[in-house]
Amino acid sequence: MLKFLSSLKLAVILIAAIAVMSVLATIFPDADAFSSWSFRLVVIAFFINLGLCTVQLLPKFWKQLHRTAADVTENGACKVYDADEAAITAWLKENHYSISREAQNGNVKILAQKGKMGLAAPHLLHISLLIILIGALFSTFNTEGFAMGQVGQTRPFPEELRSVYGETSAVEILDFQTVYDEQQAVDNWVTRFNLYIHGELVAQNVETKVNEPYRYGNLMIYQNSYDYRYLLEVQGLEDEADNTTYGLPDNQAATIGGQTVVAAMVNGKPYVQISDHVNASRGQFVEPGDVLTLTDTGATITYLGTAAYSILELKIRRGTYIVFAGFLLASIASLMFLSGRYRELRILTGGGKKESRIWCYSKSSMVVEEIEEELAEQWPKRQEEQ
Amino acid sequence: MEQLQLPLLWLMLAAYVGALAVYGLGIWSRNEKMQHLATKVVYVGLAFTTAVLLLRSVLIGGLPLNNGFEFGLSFVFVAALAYVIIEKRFSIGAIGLFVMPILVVLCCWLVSVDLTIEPVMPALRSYWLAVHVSSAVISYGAFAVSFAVSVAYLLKDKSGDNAQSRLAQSLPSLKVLDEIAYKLIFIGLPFLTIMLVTGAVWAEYAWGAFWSWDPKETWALITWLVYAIYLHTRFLKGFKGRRAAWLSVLGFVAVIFTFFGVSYLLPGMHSYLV
Ligand code: HEM
Repeated sequence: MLKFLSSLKLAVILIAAIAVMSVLATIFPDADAFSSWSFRLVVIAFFINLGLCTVQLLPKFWKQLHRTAADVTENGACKVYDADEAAITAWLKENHYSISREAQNGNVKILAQKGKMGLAAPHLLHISLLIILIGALFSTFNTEGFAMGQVGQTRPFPEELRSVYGETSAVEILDFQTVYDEQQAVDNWVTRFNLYIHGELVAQNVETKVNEPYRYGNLMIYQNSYDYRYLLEVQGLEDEADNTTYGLPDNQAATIGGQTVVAAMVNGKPYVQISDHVNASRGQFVEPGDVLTLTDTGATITYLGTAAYSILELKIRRGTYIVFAGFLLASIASLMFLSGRYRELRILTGGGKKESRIWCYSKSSMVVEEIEEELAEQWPKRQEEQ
Repeated sequence: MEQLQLPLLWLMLAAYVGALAVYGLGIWSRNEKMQHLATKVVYVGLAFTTAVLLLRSVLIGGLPLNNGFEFGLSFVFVAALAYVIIEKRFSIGAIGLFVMPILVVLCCWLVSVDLTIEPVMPALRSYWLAVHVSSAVISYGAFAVSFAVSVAYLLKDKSGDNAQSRLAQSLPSLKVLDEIAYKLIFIGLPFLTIMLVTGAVWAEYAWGAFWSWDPKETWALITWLVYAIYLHTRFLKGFKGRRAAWLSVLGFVAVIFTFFGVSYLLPGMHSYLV
């Protein structure tokens, strides 16, 4: 059972299962397959499989890494070259092998290794995957929500974060800017703000922008989006509560005093349109300070200008550092793969004879062939031994 | 200078089409010299590709990795370069017959897309993204050539290893083809891993989530899983050779779907790339 659970066969089955489920999930996005129990179960099985496999592989890896000339035995087919010990050793050194040597009654055993990084790489990669999965598990407990406000406003933390930060944590939005580059293209959006945690000012005049979120402990504040609102001051309505300043989103109708009001940019200029069921709609381009008639009873709308609303995403992150540590290890492991394949030469020679018997090992048969070709070029191969 | 892009792209396309034709003729006529000539034509194509890449870099004042066109162009560059290296190393010109069609199709797409230079949106202005996209390009280039080698494998396999067909004769042995594909995937996968990792880090900073199962992300993961299966099945009995070649083909189908299919067929965060 344990053998099967840690087997490569199961690994291939599970990886294939994850791949197939992912394909189906992108074709049927509504099924939300990635949060289904069957998907989670397969990932858990994958984790166990990889964990067990790694536990079994590591001791073997360690042994292989610390193998010495004493471990050289006459095992399997070898090739014989007409080279003496000095010549072989010189060749190994020239090719940057690390060498272990043992002499016994005139015979010499040599173990030559190269590419230990490549040998360690899969194990490090496997461990990094385990770490990433553990971190990902924690990060499923992330909580996030949005806070949106106009410059000058103080906005409480979103509902989702209140269980941790209470009712008195807030962001006070000091400024919102669109930053342009030399070509006048949008380079970034930046919000400056004060941060209050449990009513206490903990960060003053700090900024968050796209690609550079603000971090306070586990709390991340992202520049998520922004919006421009048309500020319309209403006066003269019967219900006093309706006489206030409205911030209308772009091109979205709102009902004010029984009228439908829409504000939008038309040819780059602000335009306000008022309509009801009786009169035909009236609209005009506006400048700050312009007054429009709202109703027959004398209510008015004064256009005050536009205001920028910054939309911030607040997130309590958990496990991200674990995932990032896994990412770092995975990257290091990837570079280690690229440093070249592990290869091992086991050599029996010595006794003053001009003869070396060499067993060559690598995961890639191409590497073995290359090494044997190189050796044969140096010393025309005399024979193959079974 | 912007107007220079299209003519250069056409020249590049012409060179790869020409190389394909000469490879075809060389194999059909069993003329090795002709195959060498075809490889020279690939060098010409590579020179044009380099020229467009450099021109584009100058035009945008940075690495040409910002949109679908630039990515595709870099993809062609790396795939052609990977082919040239493999060709030189193993002197297997006949593989060109299988690599060139990929380059030709990509070039046809490149000459058809909009070449105007649009400003890059703020979220894409990140160093993480530069590493993310460059490693993607490198892995895709390696996978493209491994795909071609595997297709060659399957065709040769179908006609029998020692068949008298002109194509089978001009290709190296099945074992060598299998090993070359393996080697390329072994190089491609680490870059794909780096692509996934840097993409996730960038997403964490830009969008606030290192992974959100958006279709492009998911397909990149699927690609990675297919190639992981490829590498692991090599340790199992009976998976070298034909089955491995099919897995390599499947992997490249996933690559292409991640690049084109997701952008054109499925909606998602990444769709602005094309
Ligand atoms: C998707 C996840 C995985 C990735 C990306 C991955 C990656 C790799 C890579 C790149 C290699 C080196 C292959 C080669 O030398 O050609 C490798 C080797 C290996 N992997 Fe994985 N692996 C994954 C999951 C697993 C799992 C779940 C197992 C559990 C059985 C496993 C077991 C092994 C073994 C036994 C080796 C050979 C190690 C050696 O060189 O002695 N892998 N893996």
